[in-house]
Amino acid sequence: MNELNKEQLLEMYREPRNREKAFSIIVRENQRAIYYYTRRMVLDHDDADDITQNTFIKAWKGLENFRGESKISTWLHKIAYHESLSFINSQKRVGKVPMEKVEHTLSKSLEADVYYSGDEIQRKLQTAVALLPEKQKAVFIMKYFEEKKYEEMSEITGTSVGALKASFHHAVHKVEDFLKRD
Amino acid sequence: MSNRLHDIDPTLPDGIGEIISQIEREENFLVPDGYFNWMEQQITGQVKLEVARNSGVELADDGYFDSLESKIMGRIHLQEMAGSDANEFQVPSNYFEASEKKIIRASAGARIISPGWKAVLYPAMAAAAVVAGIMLFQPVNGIQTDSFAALLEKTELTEADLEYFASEEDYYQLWMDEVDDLLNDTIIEPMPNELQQQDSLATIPNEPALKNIPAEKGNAKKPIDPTTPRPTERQKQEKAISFDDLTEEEIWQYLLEDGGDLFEELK
Repeated sequence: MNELNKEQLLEMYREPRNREKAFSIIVRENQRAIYYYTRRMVLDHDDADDITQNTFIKAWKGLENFRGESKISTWLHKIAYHESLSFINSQKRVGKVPMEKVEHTLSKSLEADVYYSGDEIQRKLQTAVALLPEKQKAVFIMKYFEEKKYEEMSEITGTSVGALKASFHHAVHKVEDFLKRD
Repeated sequence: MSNRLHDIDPTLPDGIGEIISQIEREENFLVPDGYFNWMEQQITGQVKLEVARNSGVELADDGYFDSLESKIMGRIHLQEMAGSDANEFQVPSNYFEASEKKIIRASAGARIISPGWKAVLYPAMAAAAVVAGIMLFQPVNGIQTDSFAALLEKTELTEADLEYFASEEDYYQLWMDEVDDLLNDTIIEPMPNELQQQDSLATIPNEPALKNIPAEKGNAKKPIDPTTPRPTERQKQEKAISFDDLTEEEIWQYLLEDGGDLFEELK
């Protein structure tokens, strides 16, 4: 989607009779990217599904106030980023998985997940990423898997480019150390 | 798939790492067939619901009202079967009769907490504190130089200690016994001769305060029972004054001063 399309979409959205149609296009164009980002953040398909739907519902409610200063995809990513962090923090509070078992649990759940096709090294990489602190995890996913630029990541996370580079550097070292084990 | 990260951002510190760069980057997360079509419909459906809510339209699921009647009638039927005022929380038969007996039995054996138990507990605590103190100050070589009784005598309990360890009633009784003993001692103890000559308000130096009570003339002269440190019952009682206790001179003095009428009769 180029900038013109964004402008056209927003103009379409401002007309009440075309509002839902405009939003359907936005969903269709962005749902995969948002889903895979949240899936990598939380691993579980159902959780990712919930977060993705919440992201779009919030986007619908906030689209009226969207000023169009950034790309729609960046704006949606920003919502998804905060939704994912909120979900992870809520899971921590509930204590769904004990910390000492989290590594084993993650690896086993990926192995048993019918919606995951990676081999052993892929599973190990996903486990290493899942064990990162949530913000480093988000940075690693956006940089390594989605190949986003630091400037866009800065818009999404509200963090400076320098801080993001440092976060990515630390995340890479932690993942490398994890993969070197065994 | 080639590793494009180095091309995208050559300034990346330390790159992405030797091991990570060797891992093929592929999409391993799968979704059910038709998932994204379903998701789009799901989200747009929720948006329509949101729009309808905001416009004040009440929505219900398809077929909701078809099943509502049967649901309501089913609940009414269940309530009729159970009785209109039946309690939904059921208990075993004779539960409350058995409970009453249990409660009565428990009440009979229950410990009633009252000030009475303090009379046993607090002295026991005091004794325990004394024993602990003795054990604490026992010589290291284990040779006990003083008997328990001797140490007990040396142990001083202040009034505050007694007040703490004894109940109010016990403390009052102890205090009364002490007062009684001190009064008896004062009565029994003969006033030194030299002090009897002095002013009756004079005090005896270095003696307990209660011993400062001036020795009454009558008390000092009373006989002491040698078999007991306490006064005899006769001593404890207030003597009625009779003519036998008075000298002839005193009798005449009384009659002259206060017993004018009696004097006239005797005459």
